[in-house]
Amino acid sequence: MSEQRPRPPLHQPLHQPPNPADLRRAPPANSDCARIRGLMRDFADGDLDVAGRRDVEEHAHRCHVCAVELSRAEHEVVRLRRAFGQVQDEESAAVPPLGSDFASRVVQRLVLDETSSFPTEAVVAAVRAGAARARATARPTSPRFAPSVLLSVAAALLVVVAGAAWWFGGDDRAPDRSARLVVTEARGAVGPNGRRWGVGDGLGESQSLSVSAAGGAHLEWHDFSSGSQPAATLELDGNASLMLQDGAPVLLNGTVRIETHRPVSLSVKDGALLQFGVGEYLVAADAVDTMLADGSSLQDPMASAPSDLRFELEVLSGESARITRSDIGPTLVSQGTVGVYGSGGVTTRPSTSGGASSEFAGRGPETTQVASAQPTISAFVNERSGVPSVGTALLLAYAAHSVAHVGFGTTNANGAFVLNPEFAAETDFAVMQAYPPATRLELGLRAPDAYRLLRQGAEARCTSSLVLDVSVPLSGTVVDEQGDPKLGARVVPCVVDELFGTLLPLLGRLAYTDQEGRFEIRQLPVQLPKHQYLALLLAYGGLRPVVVPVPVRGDIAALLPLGPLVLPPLRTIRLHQLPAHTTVTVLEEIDDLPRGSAAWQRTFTTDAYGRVSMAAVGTGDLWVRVGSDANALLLRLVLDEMGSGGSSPRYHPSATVSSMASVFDPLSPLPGADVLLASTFRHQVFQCAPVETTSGLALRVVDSLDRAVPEGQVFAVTPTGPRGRAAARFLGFTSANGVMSLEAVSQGGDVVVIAPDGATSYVASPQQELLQVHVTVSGLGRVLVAPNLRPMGNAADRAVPVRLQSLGPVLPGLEVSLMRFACEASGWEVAGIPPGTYRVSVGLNSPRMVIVSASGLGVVQ
Amino acid sequence: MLRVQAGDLDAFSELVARFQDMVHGLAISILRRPEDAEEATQDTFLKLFRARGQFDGSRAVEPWLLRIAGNACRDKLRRRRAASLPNGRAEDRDLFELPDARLQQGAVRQALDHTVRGELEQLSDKVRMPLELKYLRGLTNQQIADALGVSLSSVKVQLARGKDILASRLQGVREA
Repeated sequence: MSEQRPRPPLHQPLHQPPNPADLRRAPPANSDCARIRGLMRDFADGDLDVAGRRDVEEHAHRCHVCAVELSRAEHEVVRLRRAFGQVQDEESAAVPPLGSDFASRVVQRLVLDETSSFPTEAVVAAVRAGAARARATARPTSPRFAPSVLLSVAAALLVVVAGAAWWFGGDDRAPDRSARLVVTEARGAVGPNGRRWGVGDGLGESQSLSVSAAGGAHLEWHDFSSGSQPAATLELDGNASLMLQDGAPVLLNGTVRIETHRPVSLSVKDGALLQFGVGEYLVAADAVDTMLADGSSLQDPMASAPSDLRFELEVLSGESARITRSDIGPTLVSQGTVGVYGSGGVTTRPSTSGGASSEFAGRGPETTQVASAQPTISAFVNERSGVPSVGTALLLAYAAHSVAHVGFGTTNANGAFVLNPEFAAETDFAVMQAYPPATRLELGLRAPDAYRLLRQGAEARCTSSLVLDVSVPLSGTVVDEQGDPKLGARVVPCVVDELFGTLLPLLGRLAYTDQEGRFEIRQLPVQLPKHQYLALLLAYGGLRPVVVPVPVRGDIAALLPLGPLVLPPLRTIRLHQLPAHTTVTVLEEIDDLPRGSAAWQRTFTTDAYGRVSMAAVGTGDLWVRVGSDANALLLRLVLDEMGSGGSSPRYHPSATVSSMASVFDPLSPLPGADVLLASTFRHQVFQCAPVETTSGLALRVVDSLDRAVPEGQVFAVTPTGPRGRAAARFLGFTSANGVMSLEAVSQGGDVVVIAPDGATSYVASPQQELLQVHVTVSGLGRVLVAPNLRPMGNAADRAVPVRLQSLGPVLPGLEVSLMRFACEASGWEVAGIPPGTYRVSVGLNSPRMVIVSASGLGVVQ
Repeated sequence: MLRVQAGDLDAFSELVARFQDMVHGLAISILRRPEDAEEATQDTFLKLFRARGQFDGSRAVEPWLLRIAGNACRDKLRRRRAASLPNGRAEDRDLFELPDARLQQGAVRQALDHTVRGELEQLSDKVRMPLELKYLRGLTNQQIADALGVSLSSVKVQLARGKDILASRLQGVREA
């Protein structure tokens, strides 16, 4: 059927054809009408040019039929618009708009894909800056990110990511060559060539001043620093002379009283160094070469040979001074003592009321003690038999000047370890760990613990000695699930804290398995601080790391053999929704260790669709790490909701981004293995500022019989660790009366008290209004493993691990998880359980509930 | 665009902000699912940036952008279809031939008023798409051609056809 509508040009219809039904209904009268009809729909849509619009309007004005058709065409559009308007309304209700941050999200995605670092604001800004720099040098048609952009990005990242703290290193003083001695008072003061010095004169470099027996002078020494206050004021009285050399005063002869306003150093001709603190000092020099009448010898300070230089330095008040010469080391001269410097070295003597100059009688206290009040900290180590332990290495941490310090050394022939720190200990405790010498393999190391210090003046002494016990060696075999021994598996003993969830790998005791999969480790701890246990971490390339708790080497269960340690098989999963063609780093949490303390690192490469088809993993939580170690971010991998029945489970990254620090403790890689481990212990952070027990809140710790608990360890805990886990700060020991000042507890903190026997108490936010907070540590209970849970047959001679997870309300962030060992020799009983409700797993059996009361016995069956 | 070609991220940001709603609208019209539409929109701009070297800076960016957008949406649609086909084979079917999802719900929609809107809903995608892009998304004919990857004349023909079908279906219906 031939249509009467005008045939559009063969290949290029310029306009929307009119409705054929309309054409049939109202056929165009002539070719002009026909042409106009072909323009109408475009006219109604507003798609005609000016000439076309004019044509249509003029024709419609003349032609009634076309005018009607035109209004039909326009009405058609109106209807459509109205109908779509409704759709629009519904759609905007159902479909969220993209939002104003869409552009920045796209940029972030670009940055992520291009630089493999997570697009934080800082990174994006850095990339933009780098791109801007590239733009300044690039031609318009330059292709993708030039390598120079990436390099400058890396540099910018370092700068931006390192944080807002800018460190101004070094000295920002402009060298000021105007060091000078300014005369403020003068009586008979003469310079070279008889020149008289007056008030306001300044001695320049190499200029000297001398006063006669009846004369005197006061001078201000301005050194190279830019402050307006002079470094020191000097006073010469009677028969003394000095000069300015290298910007500092040099006493040639006589006695000068120096009052320093800030610590200054002066060097002496023969290379010795005088270091003054802030205070008043008297220096009396005794140059051997005689002064010539005309003072000519003053022109040549080198006239006095170094070996003839002698002077005395007395501290009248203020801070100590120090005389140092490379061959004799430092000598401290403190208040009330006089340092005598001669060719042979420095000696000190107490100042006497006579003194070198009667006018400046020593104001320091008269002491008979030979000087140098050097701070010391000492500790003693002996073996159980009482024999002093020689050559044991000790690491000692203490607090001074509100900062933690660490000292390291070995015990001497008397079993004593003496530290000569720069500053005396200011708190009543030190944290120590001890490692027996390699020649004594049968002794066990001591894990870090707090020890009480007794302080007397600048001396501090550990009140009780550390005892080294005989440690049962630990041996075992590592096999895979088929029972084949594994060669070269790494076995790392670790100390795990039951209360605070910390992990301390003892990397110095790392062992490797041999061809039969066997290993032996010696010198492991014989006992640990209460509520810590020993575990072995087994790492073998390609297999999941495994954690095996073992009894401490003094426990009765330690005598029992350890069964073969099995590395379990992996499971296969799929990953998707990752960036395409990228190597992704997946961190898997090592379960059986405190959350956030250990991870297993794997890398996988995604395909063109951002998928990984076969990833072998264990059973821990999975995270994808984005970015470099310093600033890494993590995306949790979550299971897809739809099960795909039969094929392996599929995971995708969740949208929530977490920082590394909020999920894990600071981790370090285990050398040679893909395992990352934290390294912390409960005493790692301790109170450094000494607490004045003046006013305020005190903690009084008693036991269930209301007796004071001395030597209890008190910790402040706040839930600021990764994933809200508690972070602990050791505050100190309770006194003989069981008292501890609570000023050290910051606002809002909670308190944990561990009594010497392991009884614990948790105090939530001690009330600041009260004067005293009573804390009762309840007695520890025991748990008996019922016969139905005890191992049978061949395994009956083994020790079975008993894990107890506290269900009772503890403190925010505190997840108490105890580990004990039950064996036949112990009557299948485990002790040292704080009262509470626990979920107990005996060996591989399913968990049961048990309630432990103070000093009571709970039975798990 | 010249700045974008040089790698200027701020200029790129501006470009995204300028065109995001247009591309998003197109994506929704083609893909019908908000999450797919957002992803396709993001993919469009990423592709644009990555391919910026191939772009002739002397020309307008819009047609090129729309072409990329249309392709991105059709890719996504194809992948989505491939994932849901029982035999797993990806069939490269033209967008216009895909029966509209809403047609499949036609039975449910029998109670719909016999209005223009109702008739609109019942159109197949191939017919409805140019109409939607023009009257809902406000695209010009050239933009529609760029986005759908067809010629301008093809767009005009399709628009007219859509209107024809609508008109014939609505014959005799009283307008509100």
